[in-house]
Amino acid sequence: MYNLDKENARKILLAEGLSPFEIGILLDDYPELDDELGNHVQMWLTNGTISDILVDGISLLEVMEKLGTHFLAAIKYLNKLKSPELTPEKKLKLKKILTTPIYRE
Amino acid sequence: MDYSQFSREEWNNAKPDERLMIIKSLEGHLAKSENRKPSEVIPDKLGKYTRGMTSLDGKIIYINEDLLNNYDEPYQAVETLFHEDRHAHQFWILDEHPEVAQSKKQLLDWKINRENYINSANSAYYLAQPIEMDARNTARMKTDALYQNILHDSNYEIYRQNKEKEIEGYKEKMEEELGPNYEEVARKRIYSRNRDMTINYEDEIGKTSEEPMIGITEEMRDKEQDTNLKRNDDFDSNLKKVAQKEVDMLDQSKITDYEVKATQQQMSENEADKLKEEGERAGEKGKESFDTSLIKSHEAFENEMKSNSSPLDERGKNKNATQDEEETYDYYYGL
Repeated sequence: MYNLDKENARKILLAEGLSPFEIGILLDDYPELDDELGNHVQMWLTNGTISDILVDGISLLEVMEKLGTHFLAAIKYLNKLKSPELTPEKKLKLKKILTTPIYRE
Repeated sequence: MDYSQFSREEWNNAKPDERLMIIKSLEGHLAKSENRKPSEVIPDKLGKYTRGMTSLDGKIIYINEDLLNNYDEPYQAVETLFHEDRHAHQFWILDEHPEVAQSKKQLLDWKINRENYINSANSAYYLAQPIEMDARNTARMKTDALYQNILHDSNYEIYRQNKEKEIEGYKEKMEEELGPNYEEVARKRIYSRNRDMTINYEDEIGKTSEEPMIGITEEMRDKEQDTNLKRNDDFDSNLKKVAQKEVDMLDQSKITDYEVKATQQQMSENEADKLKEEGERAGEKGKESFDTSLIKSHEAFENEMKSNSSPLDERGKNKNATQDEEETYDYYYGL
């Protein structure tokens, strides 16, 4: 399992222009991540690279784009999708939520 | 106002720049209806999932140019304009006319939300935050009113149904992540982070930790939702307490003012009455006393004269005075 280096992440997010308020929402209680997703987060922390990954057929980049969320938020969603405790019904519902666009207005 | 310019037929026959004029005309109409300066409407490339944007001062509205170029029906462009115009309205109230707000709560929600706007950190919070909920609901209501009630557009129904599905999807997402009271959870979140507010709800009800329910079990989620509900109850209760406190203070201050004024008035009236009575009494007493003294003096003088025992004559001169004394007396009294 992977634990996010929140202090390092906070600095990067500030440099990206996110407000401290939004950073708080993003990082407070950030969950322990699945190793595969953790590797992606570590790459982002190290050199800012975001590479796509599919979880149960759902693309990380697609989630970011359709929901208009930050990389770290999209990783959280995919981590939840990987949870072994999700029932098939819940998983289906979550997949629908993650693939339904949220329009910004 | 000629509403037919927003009809599907007019839109279909219009070129993109003419469609922009239609949208600008709608903004002009909405702003004029509340004596507000219309926002400048600028078409822009905003990508696939952004329909519109409003500057934080409400003066500029960006509208996705795809809505003007690629749609055969005006509904989405019009609804987006309604949505962005509502943001312009919100910011106009905050910056220029707070007295127009429907309530103190609404004003405070919008003020704090604009300062603590949630964008990319969490999509459920983005949807559930007060200024977005309000803009979405208002735009939905106005678009329905325009095409159903005013223009009686039969083609609108398909769009409306799709829109309702979109909103339903948003609701599902908000409920999944924030619980059934998602609106209050989002409100509490934006309040909890505002350290500069006079009324700091976080200080009142303790720290918050509603987070998107990622990577947690169903049982934990239910527990979290219960906690959220309890927090909402606490929040409601606290909000009511704060509101009641304000009302009480207001009432108290009114009562105090009233009492002070009434007391002052009563005192003035009492004092005036008392003074009047005293004055009248003193006057009567004085007059009586003066009259009595005068009568007594006169009687005494007459009696003395009658008895002839007084050393003074009728002019008050000493009968037994010497010549020098008489001259001195006359000199001093001018007799």
